[in-house]
Formats: sequence, C-alpha cells, structure tokens
Amino acid sequence: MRKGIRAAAMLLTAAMLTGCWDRTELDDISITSAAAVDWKDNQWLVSYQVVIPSAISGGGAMGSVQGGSSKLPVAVYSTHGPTIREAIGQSVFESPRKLFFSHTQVFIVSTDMLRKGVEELIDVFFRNPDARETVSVLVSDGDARDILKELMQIQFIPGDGIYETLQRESRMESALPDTSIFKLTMQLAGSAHNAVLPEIALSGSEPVTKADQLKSTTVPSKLRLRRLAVLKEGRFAGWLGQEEALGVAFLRDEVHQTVLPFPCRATDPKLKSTIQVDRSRTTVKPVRTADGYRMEVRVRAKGTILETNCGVDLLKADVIHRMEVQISKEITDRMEQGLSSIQALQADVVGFADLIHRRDPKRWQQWEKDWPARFAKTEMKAEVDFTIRREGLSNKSMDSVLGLKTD
Amino acid sequence: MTAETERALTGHLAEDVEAVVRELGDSCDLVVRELTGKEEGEPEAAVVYMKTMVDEETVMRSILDPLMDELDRLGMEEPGDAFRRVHKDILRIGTVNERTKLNEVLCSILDGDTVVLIAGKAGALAASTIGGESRAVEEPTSQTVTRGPKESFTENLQTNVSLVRRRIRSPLLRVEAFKLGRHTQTNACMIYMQNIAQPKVVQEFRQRLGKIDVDSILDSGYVEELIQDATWTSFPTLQNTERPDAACGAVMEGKVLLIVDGTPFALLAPVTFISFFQSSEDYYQRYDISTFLRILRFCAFFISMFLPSLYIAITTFHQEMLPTPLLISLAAQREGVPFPAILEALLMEITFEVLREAGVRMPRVIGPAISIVGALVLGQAAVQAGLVSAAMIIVVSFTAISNFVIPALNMAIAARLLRFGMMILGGTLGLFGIMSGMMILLIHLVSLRSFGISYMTPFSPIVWPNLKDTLVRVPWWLMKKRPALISNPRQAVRNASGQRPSPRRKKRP
Repeated sequence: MRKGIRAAAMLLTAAMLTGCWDRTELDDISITSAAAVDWKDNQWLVSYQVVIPSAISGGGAMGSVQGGSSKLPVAVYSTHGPTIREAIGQSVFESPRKLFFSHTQVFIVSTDMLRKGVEELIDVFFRNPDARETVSVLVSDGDARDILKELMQIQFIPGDGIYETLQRESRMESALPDTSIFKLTMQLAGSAHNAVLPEIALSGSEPVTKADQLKSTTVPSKLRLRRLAVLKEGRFAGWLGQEEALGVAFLRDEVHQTVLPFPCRATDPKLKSTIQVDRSRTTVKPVRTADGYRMEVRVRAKGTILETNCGVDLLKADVIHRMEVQISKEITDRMEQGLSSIQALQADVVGFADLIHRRDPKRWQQWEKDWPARFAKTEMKAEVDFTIRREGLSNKSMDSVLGLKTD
Repeated sequence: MTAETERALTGHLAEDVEAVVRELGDSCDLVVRELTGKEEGEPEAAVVYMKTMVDEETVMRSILDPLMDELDRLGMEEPGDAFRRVHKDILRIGTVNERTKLNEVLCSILDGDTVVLIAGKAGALAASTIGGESRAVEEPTSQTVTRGPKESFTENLQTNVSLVRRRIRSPLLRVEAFKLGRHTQTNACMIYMQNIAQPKVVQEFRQRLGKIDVDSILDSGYVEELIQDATWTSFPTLQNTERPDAACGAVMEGKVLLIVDGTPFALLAPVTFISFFQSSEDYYQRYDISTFLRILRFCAFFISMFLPSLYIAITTFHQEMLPTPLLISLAAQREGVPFPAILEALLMEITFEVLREAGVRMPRVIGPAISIVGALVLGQAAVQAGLVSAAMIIVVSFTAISNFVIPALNMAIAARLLRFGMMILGGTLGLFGIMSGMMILLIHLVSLRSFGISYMTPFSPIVWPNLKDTLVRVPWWLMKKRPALISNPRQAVRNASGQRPSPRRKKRP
C-alpha cells in the first residue's frame, strides 16, 4: 500500500516536471494566414499577415465589447535578415505573440526572390515541422509584401481569400494550377528541374489597406490571379498568358474543368460558341525519330455545350460531330500555342524530359546537358478526341429560330 | 446476544415471559398478553409480539380469538397435548414454527412473529404475522423508460420477491434467504434460475454472502462493497437495478440477483462492462433504434470522459490539428480570458459538479432558483465578464449532458471521476497524455473480473456469439442462445429456431 502511494507520488511529480514545455495557449499565438518572401538589398525580407481573431469572430470576451466589424481583420509586418529563419527569428523583437505557421495557407514570393533561386525557401519548409508543405505558393511581380497588405471584401482574411480563389480557379478553369510547396519541389526534382507557379497581382490603382476603403461597393484595387510564372532550374524564366497557360495545362494533364470558346466552322474564325470541358485526360508518348523524339500527345476530353450561336440543329449527329472537330482543333491550337511559348523560353515544364528519361535512360544521359535546346526543337503531334456529352436544355439556338441563319 | 439468551426455555410460563421482557429491555412496543381461563389463578398461555412489527388485525383474528375460545379446554389437557393442539388446530396462520431456545424466540419476535407460550411446556410457537407499513409499488425514479413496465422494487423484501416471482413462474426459480448484519439482521434473498445460472457463480455468491460479518446492512450498497471483486477501481463490478423487469431479464441470462430488505435497489452479478450500457428498454423497442441508442450511449460515454481533456490538449498543444476557421473562432473567444485552458476547464467542471450536487441535496421548492443561478449567472455571465470562453461552456455542458445518457448511474460516475484525471493529463502532456491515460485505463479494464467473468467480455476475450447483444442488439428471433460464459453452457439454447415471422412457412409434416 505504502509502496503504491510512493510510486503514484513519484509519477505525479514526473508529470509536473515533464509537462507543459510546449504548451501554448490560444492567446499566445499569432495565426499567420499568409506569408511573403522578398529579396531586397541582399537580405531576406519576410512578411507576415497575422490574423486578429477578435476582429473576425464577434464572440469572445473582448469581441463583444468592441464589436468586431470596424476593426481590421489582419495585421501585416515584416522582418529581415541574412537567412530566412534568421529573418523570422527577428520577429520576436516586435511580435507580442509567437508566430504560428501551421495555418498559413498561401505563400507569396516575389520575382526578385525567384531570380535568386527557390532552394533556400524549400529547405526551410521541409526542415521545420511547423511549416507545412501543403502551403500554396504564388508569385508576385512586384513586392510580395504589397500583396499581403491588400484587404479583401467578401473573405475577411485576405490570405484565406487568395487560397479560396486559387482553389476555385484551378478546379473550374484549370489554367493556373494550385501549386503547393510539395508539388513545386516534386516538379523541380524532375528530370528537367523546371516548374510553374501562378501569379497573384494587384489590379487597380490605389491599394486597399484601410478599413474605411472597404466601406464602398467598389474598391479601387483587387487581388487577381494573372499569369503563369515559369521557373527554370529553380529560377524565374518568364511569364505565360492565360491562354498559353491553359494549353500547357492540357499538356501537363492538369485540366479538371475549363471553359473554352470555339468557332462554328473552320471557315468562320469568329468564336461564337462555348464548351465546358468536364473531363480531360492527356497521355504523351515519345516516338523515336531520326534525330530525336517526337511527342505524340493524345487528349481525350468530354464536355457540355454552354452556349451556341451557330444556328444549327443540335439534334443532328453530323452537326454535333462537326462541333467536336472544331473543339478538338481549338484544344490542339491551344496546346501548340502553349508549347511554342515554353519552347521559346527553353523551359520544359510539361514533363517531356521525364518521359524520355524513363523511356531511354542512356540517351537521356547524353542529352541531359543540352536538353533545353533540344526541347525547343522537339516536335509534337497532337490528337484530340472530344465528345460532347450534353448540349444543354434547348436543342436550337435563338438565331435559327429568328431565321437569321440556317445551316 | 449474550450467553444468557443461549439457554432453553424453562417451561415455567411466568419465568419465560419475564426473561423475554427482560432481554428486550422492557420495550414499549412489546405486547405480552397473558391468558387465564375461567378459573382464576395462574395464566394458561401467553401471547408475545412486537406491535410495531406485526399486523395486529391478524394477531387478533387468527391467534387471540381461537386461542381464547379454546382456553378452558386447553387448561384441562396435559401441557404437551395442549401445545400440539395449539400448533395443529388452533392457530390459523400458515407459518407456525416451534421454538425451544430463548434467543430463537427473541429472533422470531423481532422478525414480526407472534410467539405463543403454553404453561408447563418448555417450548414456544412462532406464528408469522409480519405486517406494518410499506410503500406501494411505484414507478421507477432513477431508471425510467418510455416503453416497458412501470413497476419498481420497493423497500419491502416480500413485495420485491413477489415482483420477480410473478414475472418468472418457473419451478426452477430458486430463492435463497440470508440474514446479514449482526445487529440489523437484514433479510436478503438470492434469486437465480437453477438450470441457467452457473453453479460455480451461485456457490461463489453464497460464499461471499456468508463471509459478511458487519454490524449493519442498511442498503444493498453495503453488500456491494463487501462482495465486489475489485475494490481499487471506479468501475462497478456489480450492477444495481430498481426495475423488476431488468432484474428478471438478467436472471434469465444466468445472472444471480440479490434483493436486500429495506432498499429498492437489487444487485446483479456477474456483470460485464457492456451491461452498464444496456437499458431494459433496448429489449422492448425495435432492434434498429436499440442498436442506434447503444452506439450513441458509447459515444456519450467517451465524450463524457474525454471531451474536456481533448479540448484542452488540442487548443494548448496541437493547434495545427484544427481547421483554420475553427481555430480563429476559438482564438477569438479566448481573447482576454485570464486563465490557462486547463484551469478554465477545471473551474467550470468543478462549478458544474457543485451545481449538480446542490441540485440533488437542496429542497425541492428552491429547485428552479438553482437552475436560474446555474444557467444564467454561471454560464452567460461568466462569459460576458470574460472569465471563461464561450467554447469552454459549450464543452463543459455537453460533457455534462452526455454523462446523463449512460443508463447505469454507477458507470456514469466512473466516467465523471476519470474525467478529471484525463483533464490533468491532457493539460500537461497533450494528446500524448490522453493516449497514455487511455492505455492505462484499458489495461485496468481488461484486468477486472466480476465473479470470474472478464469485465470486457465479449470484446476481450472476444466471444463471438455474445456480440449479438453489445453494440448491436439483434432481433429477438436471432438471439437463439444465452450469453456464453455467463449462463450455464448446458442450457445454452434460449429460443427455438425459425422464430422469424414470415408469411410463407413450410407446413409441418
């Protein structure tokens, strides 16, 4: 009995000794919704967008007294240092709470920083348990810090808003892929060491950083996803527009769903109809040619007609078939356009290198050094197999009813 | 009882009566009626009883009346013959026993018997005339059901045994009587089915009851603490019920029932962990809802034991586990709360326990007042004053409500107590602490036994056939066999096969 009590007492004291060393109360942490990294004056400039919880959630002891809505949802501040972690470490000099990165949803990097190289950043992410590899990375053409300062109208926390926008875009439109640190690393670890990242930009004149500016139905500036940044061996190489980006997405087999306008006839290049691609699958096969490889790209896609003004009767099988040909051609054009722009940058971001590496490892070893130049000359043969699954609720277009045009 | 009382009756009427009166301390409720024949002189007989223990109407009609009528003739007979005739002919009572020793006589009187002494005969007749006030059979108060019998045990042993008897009219139902408590001499009945109960368990039960040597047994709780298997645990190893239907159901599964005089709570053994989650209603309602409720009760059990500790652990150690909006909302609520989460939780839990205990103890009249104080002052006002966060109030109250879902109060108490240990573990070591606590708990649970049956049966050791009445309650027509290990294996079959109702049944050849 006495032994038991003694053992219990010892266990209890042990619990007191060991416990609590990493205990952090919720009011001791700063939840960082977004972070940004710039490279300025040979120093890292790390910026944090920190959530002010009492301003967002009405409840709570303080919230009910102050009535949250007039307060700003986030605060932004920056620290700098010779290394990234040192810059983050500097935050203890000005932050009353511990920076908490586990809930960071987006990470903005500037093009200046990308020109220096992305490897330091990746190392920081993979080495530290509190930073998650699932954070989405976006590129800003100007200062990344300015993106964090911008307020949003509907989504209270801008970092969260950027993340939701990116998610929605990559699911519904597929031109700019949602790229996490992990995906970025996997791309850079591929045979060609290239990657793509979506761009976030401020569109508009004056940045929205004050709560007063939000008290209007329109704001002078907004955050907007714009182009696709191409990284070559971890360094910034150039931009792709949204159209080329979609072509590249088809080549990368990253199209979940997208909306595509297309012309009625080959003879009439005016884009008068729209198709929604619901499902798309791309397979690429390298085929040996005399001086290299030709890439045979085969896309199988299905979709729904969203609008048509071609004046056709959609109940006829041959009309549908003709439309499918038109759509296939459109997709092929996009892919060729995309490929030629990345060939101009000599950046293989579509994974041709991996395919050749896998198919012909010996040849790849010879080619590896001058692959960018070879890639620029690689030919592609595209074959698109498109099926219209649904033509919507009506089978005739209004212009045919009005008798403007018959087919 | 003193050695004095060990002696036999003398046969001298006045002396014996005097001895009885003396031993009982000349108690004011002791009635001694000495009967003298028509001729004046020495009394022929004496009737002795406790007027607080007997039904006086019966005493008058069945003992005094016939005795007085026959007194003259008895006086002329030999004392031995007279004694025999009183026993055989005159007393109009079912149970009449002969007593020869003084302490036997005293015991009979205290049990509510009426003792008849005949002059010249060294013996006494004890006629059972027990009576007195007892509560009527009422609805159960602590184990209520919506569908099912609305009868509950009372404080009267006879009534309680009759409630069981009326439900199981089998000749194989065995009722064994015990007297427990040196001074209280409390009657108790051990009830079991002779063919279904495990003989070993019955024997063990008998033996454990026989070992009880205490001053008083005022409730079955005394017996429970004296015969349970494990003493250093907060988990109950005996079940108590105030429902005769639940008791009968258990007896029909092979369990042993102990009814103690003076309490409406009967004891059941052997029990397993799962039996504390089975409400008798489960068997009266359809099996689907019963199954759903069983699972719900298990969830409630875990919630009532772990929710506050999980909340503390996750919000102070593992913030990354929460979805972002939830984290922000919780963080907003904690803004300005002066105490750490563990202290906040302990404060609120203790407040709730105080309220709960106050609710049980205080007079009924001021009941509504306490609920206002509890709900408004301690809940809303505490949040508005910024002393505790709203989320903590939600956690604590949900924990409290979950605790009431568990049908057996003694199991609910186990969860209620262990919760505090878990909270300290969660507050010091995070989820790791809770996990270690859970491990210790599990190890403890599997080591428990109740009358030779592993507590976690049928989960560990796994007994496949018994799983039919655990998390799921299969329909009655599928319960072909009685629970293995608990019931006698030779009488395993409970229901005939083919009990499932269906329109197309093959005709019997």
